[in-house]
Amino acid sequence: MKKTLALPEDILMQIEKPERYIGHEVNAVIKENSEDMIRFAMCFPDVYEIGMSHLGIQILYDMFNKEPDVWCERVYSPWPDLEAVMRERHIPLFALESQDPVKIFDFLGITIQFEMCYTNILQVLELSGIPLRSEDRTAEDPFVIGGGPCTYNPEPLAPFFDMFYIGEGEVSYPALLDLYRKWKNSSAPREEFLREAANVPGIYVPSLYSCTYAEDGTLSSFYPTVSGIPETIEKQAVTDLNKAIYPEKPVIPYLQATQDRVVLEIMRGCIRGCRFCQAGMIYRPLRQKSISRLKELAYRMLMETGYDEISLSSLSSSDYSHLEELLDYLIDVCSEKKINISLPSLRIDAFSLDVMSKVQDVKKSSLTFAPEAGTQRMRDVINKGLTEDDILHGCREAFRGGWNKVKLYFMLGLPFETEEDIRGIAHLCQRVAEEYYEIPKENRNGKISINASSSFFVPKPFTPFQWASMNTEEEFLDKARIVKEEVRSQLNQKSIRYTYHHAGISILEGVLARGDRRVADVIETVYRNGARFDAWSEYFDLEKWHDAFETCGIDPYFYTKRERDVTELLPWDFIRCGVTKQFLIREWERARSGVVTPNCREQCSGCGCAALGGGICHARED
Amino acid sequence: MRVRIKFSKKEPMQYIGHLDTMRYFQKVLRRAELPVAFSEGFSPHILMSFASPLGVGKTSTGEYFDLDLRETVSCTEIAQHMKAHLSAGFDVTAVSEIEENRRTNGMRVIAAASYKVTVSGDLPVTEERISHFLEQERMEVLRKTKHKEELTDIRPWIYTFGWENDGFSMLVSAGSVQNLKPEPVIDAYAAMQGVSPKQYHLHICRTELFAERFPGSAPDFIPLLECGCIDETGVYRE
Repeated sequence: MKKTLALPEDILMQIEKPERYIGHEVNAVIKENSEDMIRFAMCFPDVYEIGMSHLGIQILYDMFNKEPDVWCERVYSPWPDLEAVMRERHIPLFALESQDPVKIFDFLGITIQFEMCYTNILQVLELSGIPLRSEDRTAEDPFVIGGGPCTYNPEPLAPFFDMFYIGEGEVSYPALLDLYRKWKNSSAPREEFLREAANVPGIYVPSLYSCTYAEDGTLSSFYPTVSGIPETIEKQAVTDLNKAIYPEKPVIPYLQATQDRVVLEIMRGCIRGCRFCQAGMIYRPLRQKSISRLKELAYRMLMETGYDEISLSSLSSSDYSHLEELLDYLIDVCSEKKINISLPSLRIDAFSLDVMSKVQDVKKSSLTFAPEAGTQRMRDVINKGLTEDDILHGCREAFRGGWNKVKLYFMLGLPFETEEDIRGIAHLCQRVAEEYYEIPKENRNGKISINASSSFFVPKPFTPFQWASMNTEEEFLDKARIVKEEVRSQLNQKSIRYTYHHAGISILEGVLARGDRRVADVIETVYRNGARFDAWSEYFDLEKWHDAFETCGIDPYFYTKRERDVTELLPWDFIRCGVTKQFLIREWERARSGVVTPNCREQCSGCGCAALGGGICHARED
Repeated sequence: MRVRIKFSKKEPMQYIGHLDTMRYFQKVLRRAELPVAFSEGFSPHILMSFASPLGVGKTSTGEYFDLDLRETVSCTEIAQHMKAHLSAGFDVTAVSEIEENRRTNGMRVIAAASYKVTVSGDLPVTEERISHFLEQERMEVLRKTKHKEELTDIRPWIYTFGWENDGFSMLVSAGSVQNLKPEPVIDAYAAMQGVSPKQYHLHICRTELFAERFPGSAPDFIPLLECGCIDETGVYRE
């Protein structure tokens, strides 16, 4: 008889949270294995609770498992306590459903959601017994394929992957699987499959492309090394979200995941065009799900899962055309069934405050604003269509409704930032406090508490700021100190708490986000020196990264601090993500002169995404 | 109405912690669409109370929780609806309607628990050794409390101890007054044979939870299912 679990009892009892590794969750898919079965291991390279919260994997898991001859299973990064035991006892990494080793699978798909998981990717490969580099893999190894937002610049990871899938998985996987079925029945070598796969729309096979560098270190050419494969890779995007697959029976973890609720994706893409935001560019165009489809999905998912909470997912839920009707429906269903509604990413206005007071405990909940910058001038530079008036007005309404906690998110180190903009963060906080104290004392709900936090701006590929210079760690920290000092000199400073992110992590994120193929050596070196879970402050070790840069002779500032000329060949230029380079250049120039660009509903700015078909660019939105 | 639900938790669910088991059953009840009762307030929760937490790594065929329902549903129906939504490793094995008062609250009435313990490793067992073990008037073991370690006599809390088929079976005191886990009992037995805990590994299954038949009746116990049961004929049992 096959044993139920890959890990023996004594190991499960000695590690933290054994529930991470035993599978068997409700709605996990178990299939009868056979020779013809295509085994797909889908990995989120972080710990289980984080990975299980990711919607994209649940969608693809559902899609793959609807194919009778495909069995998709999940894999997450083992926590360091288990990694140590696996190494000592030579236990290979396994997938949760079958508990079979990843090595025997046909595919290992890895979703790459943030830069700081790159070392974890190598951990997953090594623990699976798969050579780290594509060139060292043989017929014994699965095909390693990457997807997700970080693949819009896949180059720092290029040597570690056999393929990258650029875009939304729903579109091209059927074609890739068809190709695989044919290849599996032939006796053609591994290279043959990769060669053919390179012609599937959206599939990038890095080993079939090469590049050269100029004397100043910049990229001078990038080209396919074989004939008959495309020179550019086109992002794949779903055109009709109503017809797209959506997991009505998502896997329900026993262990409480970060996202422990029904997640209802209401739309993809964003009309706003904030110039720092990669998601706002690469997920264009805006595509909404119909209200009828959403009602049906929400109801079914709540019934199938038994969750006591539902959350709306999108980049900016307030922009959904039928939000009011959807929320009315949810409030109806949920109040009867005592289900919580959580409403992230809502613009604060009279409507949302009314909804929030219906579904949340005003005393406990806090309002969240993301002004991103302290002055209107700076917000115009980044094209953040939120005015100070919007914020103060929203706060006034909320304070009258009983709220007394406000969270404000900012960024430091944005292009064209002045000291006035930096100090402006403190001033905005003060004005929010003043709004509160304008309310007559008897109508106030105790003291106001303002939590302001700033992250450090990291320029990302396919944004108008992709050419921008990024601040150094010292510059970041100086700026944070200025904010802190300015906050302290405000009248209501006691009500304002200011915190900021780890600057060192931001710098690395900057290198990895805009790096080229040469950065891969740094990732491998730092991994070999023990770097893991870099997104976790308790494991992040900046020293290890500094050492690796030195060992590999790579200057991180070349990737972060250097402002690029718009004529420079960028490592990710071979990808066509919908928004054109001309549009990005135009936006970069408009940012320089502080000119805002209207959102997609107000006016089309010709970003290029209309060519992808579907969404707001075409049909009238329903 | 209030019902007491008996369930089992088997391989590989022994790794699911107590809180996660509770959360799991909350979802099962929602999926089963039973008319559960909720607490008042801004974040209402299902009115259910678990009898006794089971440690991670232990299986059980005798777990319980009490559940309040807004409407009357037959015990058989409750069991059937729940069973349709359970995952492998969990099963609902009995349901009984119980009195709605604090006196019969599952958590409060627990007085004893029975365990089946199989041992892998080297631990000699004979009837003679067992009776020799039980003949002791005192069994002092080092027990950790919140603040200190102290020697405690556990002999009064062991009601039965023996060998059946392929493992030890025991009935020991449980609940809020004196909760004795099975491990120190086996360790004490092993110590008497000159075997250290490092030499064996225990697989523990809790087989039943008990209440006193009437206040102060220990060691005369009844299974929790029967404690406060309103209508014996309506009980669902496997």
